[in-house]
This record gives sequence, C-alpha cells and structure tokens, in this order.
Amino acid sequence: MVKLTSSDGQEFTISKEVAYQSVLLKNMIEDVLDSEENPIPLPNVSGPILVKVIEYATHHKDDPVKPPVEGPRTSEIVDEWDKEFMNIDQGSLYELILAANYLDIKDLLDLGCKTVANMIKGKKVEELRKLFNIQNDFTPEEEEQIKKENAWCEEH
Amino acid sequence: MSSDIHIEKDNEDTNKKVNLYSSNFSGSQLEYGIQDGFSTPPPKSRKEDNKLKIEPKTPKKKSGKFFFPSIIEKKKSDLFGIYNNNIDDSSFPSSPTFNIQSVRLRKKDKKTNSITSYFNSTKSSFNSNSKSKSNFDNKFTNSKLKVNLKQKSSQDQINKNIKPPLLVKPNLSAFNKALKQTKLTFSTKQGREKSNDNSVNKIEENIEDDFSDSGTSNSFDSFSNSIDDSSFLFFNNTDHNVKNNNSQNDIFNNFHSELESFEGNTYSKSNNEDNEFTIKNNSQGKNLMKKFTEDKEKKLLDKRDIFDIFNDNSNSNLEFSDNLSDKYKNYEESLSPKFNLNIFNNKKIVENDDRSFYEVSARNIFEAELLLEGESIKESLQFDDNFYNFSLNKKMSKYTKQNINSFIDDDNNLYKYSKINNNISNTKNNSVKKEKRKITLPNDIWKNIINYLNFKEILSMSCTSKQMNKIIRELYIWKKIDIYSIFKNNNIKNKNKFLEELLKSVYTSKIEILIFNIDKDIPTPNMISLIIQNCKNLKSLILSDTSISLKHFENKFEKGERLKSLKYLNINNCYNINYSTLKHLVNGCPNLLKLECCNLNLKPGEFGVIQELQHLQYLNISGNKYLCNLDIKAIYNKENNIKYLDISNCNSLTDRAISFILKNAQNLETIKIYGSNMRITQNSFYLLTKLKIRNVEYQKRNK
Repeated sequence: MVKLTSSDGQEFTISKEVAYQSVLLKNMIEDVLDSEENPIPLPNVSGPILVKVIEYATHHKDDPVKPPVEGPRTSEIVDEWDKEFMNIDQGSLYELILAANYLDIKDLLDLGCKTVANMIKGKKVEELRKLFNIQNDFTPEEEEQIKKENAWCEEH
Repeated sequence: MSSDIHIEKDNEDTNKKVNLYSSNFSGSQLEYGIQDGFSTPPPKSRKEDNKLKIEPKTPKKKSGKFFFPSIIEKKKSDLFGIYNNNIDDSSFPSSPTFNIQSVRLRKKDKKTNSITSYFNSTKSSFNSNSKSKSNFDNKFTNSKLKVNLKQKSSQDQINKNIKPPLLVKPNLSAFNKALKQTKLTFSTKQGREKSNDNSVNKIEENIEDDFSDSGTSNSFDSFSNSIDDSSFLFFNNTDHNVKNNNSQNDIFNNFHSELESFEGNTYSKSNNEDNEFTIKNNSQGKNLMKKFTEDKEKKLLDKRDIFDIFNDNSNSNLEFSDNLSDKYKNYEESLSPKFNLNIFNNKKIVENDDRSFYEVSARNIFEAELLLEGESIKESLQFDDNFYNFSLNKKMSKYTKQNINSFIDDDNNLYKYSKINNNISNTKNNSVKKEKRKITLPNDIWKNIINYLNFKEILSMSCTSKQMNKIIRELYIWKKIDIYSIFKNNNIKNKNKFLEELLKSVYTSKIEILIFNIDKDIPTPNMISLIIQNCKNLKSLILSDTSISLKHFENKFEKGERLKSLKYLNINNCYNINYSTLKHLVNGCPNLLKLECCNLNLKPGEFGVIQELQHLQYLNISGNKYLCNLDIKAIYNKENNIKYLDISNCNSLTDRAISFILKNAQNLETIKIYGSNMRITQNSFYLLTKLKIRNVEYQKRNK
C-alpha cells in the first residue's frame, strides 16, 4: 500500500497497483523504499481532485497496455465509464488535467484533453473566448487581420 | 489643489522631450524632485492640467541612457507585455524606460515629521510609447506630492525654461506589499545566507538602535509606510557595478544611516537564533510597523530568484515551479528569515556630503506591483505552485492594465495613497475569487488538446487570443502536412480548394514536410506553384504515385524560383515525368540531399542530368528498366558525395556499370543491387565486397 497526502493535507491510502498508473508515483515508490510508512506529498493536487484521480486509476488498473495510436487522433471518447467520469465542471476538469499532467497519467491526461477538445468543437470564436475565459487581447485591427489569416478553412 | 504642469517640448522628430512641472500640492509632506524626459508628450496630463506650456525650446540633450534594473533588463519582454497589452512584440525595443537616477531622502522637519525626499535626477530618460508613457505620466501627476522640477546642473530653479526636476511619487506601498512576495524568491543556498550573516546581524542591531530611541511619530500616515519601504527602494543605477560581497556591507551601512535619519518606531530584536526581530511600534506607527513585522520574514530579496520569476516561460513551467516549491519548502523548514538584500548587489549607493543620495528606479515599483499580483495568484491557488507559475504572466498583464487604469481614472489628479491601498487589496480579493474558478492551462496541455481538433476548430481557436494564436502557430501540425491524414480528419468537400487555401495561408512558412501520395490529381499545377512560392522552409516533398508532369513545375522554375530549402524529394512511380521534368526538378531543387526516383518512365541516357545535384548523398534509381551504363557513367562523371546508391531492378545495367562505380564512387558506403533479371554478375558483387564499400546488398542467384 502507498500513502499519499494531498495539498490540503488529506491522506489517502491506495494499492501499489493503482499508484503505478502514475509514472510519477511509480518512480517515487521505486526510489523510496519505505513509501508505505511515509506518505508521499502531492503539493500540486488537492484532495477532491486526488479522489477523482484515484477513482480513475482504480477503474483502469486492469486495463491492458494500449498500443500507441498510429495516425490521426480522434477526440471521440469511446468508453462509457470515461464519459460519465468526465461529466464534471470545467474548473475540476482543468484541475484534473493538471493533476494528470503532474502525476504523469497519460490516459487520464488524454481523456481530459479529449473532453476539452470536444467542448471546443462546433463553437465560434466568441463562444470559445467565453467558454475558456480567454481574454481578447487583440486590437480590432489585429483581430481583423487574424480572422483574415484564419478564414481559409471556413467554406470547406 | 492646483498643479502646474510645465512642459518643454522638443520638436525634433525623433526625440521629443517633455518636462513636467507640477507643484503646490497641498497636504503633501514629501517633496520629490525628478527630472524626466518623454519620448512623446503625455496626452492625458495635457488634458487634465490647466496650466500647460509647451515651449519649442530645445533643452540640451543628454545622452539618454536607458535604464532597466538588471532583473527587468533580462526579461523586458515579459514585463512589457504587461504595459503594452495591445502592442506587438516588435514594439518592445521602444518600450518605456524610466530612470530616476538618484533619490535623496532626508528628514526635513522633525517636529512635523515631514520627510523630504528629493529625487535628484542627473540624467533620466523616459522613452516609451505614448500609451505606457501616459500611464506613467498619470501616476506622476496623481501624486499628492509637491513637485519640484529642477535640473541638476541648473543654477536657476525659478526660471522655468530650464528643465526643472519632475516630481514622482512612486507607488511605494505596492512595492512594500510586493516585498511580501519575495518569500517566493528567497535563496536556499546556505552558503549564501552564511555569507550574509554578519551584515544581517549588523543591520538588525542597527534597526534596533534606530528605533529604540526614537520619539513618537505624530503624523505617520501611509507615507511613513512609504518611507519605510523606500529604504528598500534605493536601487542604484547600473552605472555603478559593484562587486557583490564588498557592496553588501556598504549597503547595509547605508541602510542603517538611512534609518537613523528616520524617526518613528521601536524595533526590538528578539533573542531567537533565527535572527528574527520584531517591531514594537507606538500607536501612530502601528499600521506601518505591523506591516513591517509581517514583511520581515519575506524581505528576502534575491536578485536571481526574482529574475527567475520573470524568466518564467511556458516551456519550463514544471521545472521552474518545482524549484520554486522546493525553495519554498526549504524556507518554511529553515524558518531563518534573513535580510537578503542581494537585489542591491549590482548597485551602489552614493554618498554625497551628509546626505545620502540614492538612486531609485521607478521600474522597480512596477515590478513590485507585478510581484504583488503574483502573490495574489499564489494565494488563490494555494494547492499548486504550478498554477502560479504559468498564470503569472497572464494575470500580471490584466492586473497592471486595470491598476493603471484606476490611476488614470483619478479625476482629482490626486495620488491618494489610501485609495491605492484599497485598490490593491480589492484587486487582490477579486483575483482570489476569480482564480478559484478560473484556472489556466499551460501551453503544453493546450497543444495536446488542439491536436484533437480539426483545422476549422484550430483556426477558430487561434482567433481567440494572442497567446492561443502563438501556441497554434508553433504546432507541429503545420510542419508536416500529410494530405492523407488531413482528409481523414477533416470533413473537406473541396479538397483542391482547401489545399490551395492552406498553401496560401500564413502557415505555409511553417511547413517542412509535404506528403502528396494518395490522389493522382493532387497536387495540381497551381498547388505546386504555391508550394514553390510560399513554402520557404520546405525540407521534404513527397510526390510519389502522383501524375505530376512538366506543367506543374515549368511555370515557377522557369522564372528562376527555386526550392532552396528542399533536401528530400520523392518522385517514385510518377509516370508522367519525362526528361525535361527531371531537368527542371534538378535545377529547381539545387540542394537536394536525397532523391528517390524509382520506376520512372525515362529513356536511356536521360538520368545523367542527376549529376547536376552536387550535394546529393542518397540516390534511389531502382526499378528504372531503361537506366543504362551511360547513365551511371554520367552520374559518376563529376565528383560526387553519393553515399547510398540503389540500382535494384535496373535490368539494363551490366558489369561495366559496376566497374565504373568502383572506379569513381569515392564516397559510396552502401549499394543495393537486388533484382531477379539483373545482368550484373556475381563477379561484380565479389569485387564490390572487396572494396571499402561497407554495405553491399545483392540477391544471390543460382548460376
């Protein structure tokens, strides 16, 4: 078993099998011998998010190693459980992505990125800005220019 | 409240100087004098100030040395992003430089506790674009300070024609608050701290002495804050480069002497070994000293570490934030706050008679504001130093914009210190609230996300903001254009139109690899023309299995345009290529290193043109039934660098070709000779294996 401490001080105990989903934790556990005694601090992951991460890792712990996907990638999320798992608010989604990035859980990171990509699909520029809280820092002239530069795909 | 603004305008096109004179602020206990030059006249102040004189007289020009604190100097662009939100990167060289060369701070009147500070500027330059300059300008005019403008060398201050010094009330409070932020930037190097110990102790004793015998401070309002803080603000100009260690004590001594001249509050040093000291303050100075106490642990300025903050860039997010959190951790553990005033290291404090002259850079104040904002971000994202790191730049720009606007909005032309304080705390609270729900993703993750999008979505995203536009321009997808995957991923009805538009777009210069190998009719002659015209960084062009012919290339190549960057060309199985097409290609792609031209429909003797490719290292001419000995002879006629040669299935070749290769191929390393109907005999293979050629691959056949 492995003990983890989230940024807000919560302690979690998970099996090594689950922890090994994370490359970061795997390396840490292998480097530190008495990881069962001393909790591993995760200052970049808050408690609620770590709960989600552990939920994901537990569900996917028996997954076979996926071969690297060749060719173009699709944002479609096939697994129904994953779809339901990702049904969270945007702030949590961001945090989950960042936690997956930090803990180096590739599948979870990809899942999160796919979810965000699906949010982008079919949206117009203004909608995207609103959705992602992106501040429009173009001057009107610049924006005109940028829109011109990027309009070539519109009609096809 | 009346203020005089006196502007001297130099009408020369390139270098306009404006001197601002503002005076008669009531209620001010500080006099700051500063002289400044502006690249353009400040429009805002001109509007607001009643008495405005613009005089065409040209003041004696001084060599304006632009000054940035070295911290800022190193990362100008980061900082200026803040002030020039709407200005392109290209404008950075002309971004604001503001230099107050010397500040003289002295106690003017003990009874009233007024403190006079002269910013005596020997030479100062204020070179900025009009936008940011007006921000500066408004800050200055907003200050409720008595403004004296005087020229250092000027004997006659009354004569306003002579450049008077400009008053500046720097936002000291912001800097003070920012000092809190420096807990993020402390140094963990024990050796460094040790080396500072002496001076640290010394200064603490100094402080204790200073304040233990001090009287009451009657009118310590927020200005006493500023004075207190201003002790930390006396950065010198880069004119004086001083060796670090030697300057340290000087700095502390000066700091000491500075505090001596400052009456106010009582410090008592605590006895603990960590050199912590607390401040006992009387009632008037309570706020100030409370703040000071809070700050004391955080006043660990390490120049390098501050630089680190500004050196933050998206690529090193993780690494940097790890460092940061490590340092932070160490700091928490060690609990050994030190005055680590290394920020002064490269700066020298100048003593002049009994008054201390200090040089201060107002840029530092702005830097401080940025740090302040950084702290609020950090607070709001306590669980993750990572976030702090990558959102700092973005937030900073927003914050500064707002804050400066709030300065400008002050219609009374008053610098209300309390107001600014409120403003800062409000901003802080707001940002805390905002940040709770608004988290920014780092660029790497955006790249990952964008990889799941199709072109239309990517282009929409790139219109959202500058940052996103930049991310998208740097994406790998532009480097490698493989029409197979493009058509698979994107629902494109008019493929030709799409590709032509793509090849016209701003992204063509990013393209390094172009792969056209699924559709015989793509590329069209128009596309090839666009490629030759626009793809200046194209390295690989794969046209195998297409129906390209002379008409694709003659248009551009005959006009002398060349694919100079092209290193690899693949024209396998292009049956429409004839001799003149190949000749055009050879001429049009002079720097080819690798050429694959299998199974072409060329006649004997027509391959010889390949000899023109002087840099060629890899040549695959397999499968050309009509390739004859003469062609090999022609290819090897000149000196060449060919290391790899594939002549498999060239059924017209005989042993004579091999013997010619043996004679002339100095650089050949690998030769492939496969094929069932080859006329080359085992003898040749045997000869080849005897030579230096490392790899000889051939098919053994029964006799």
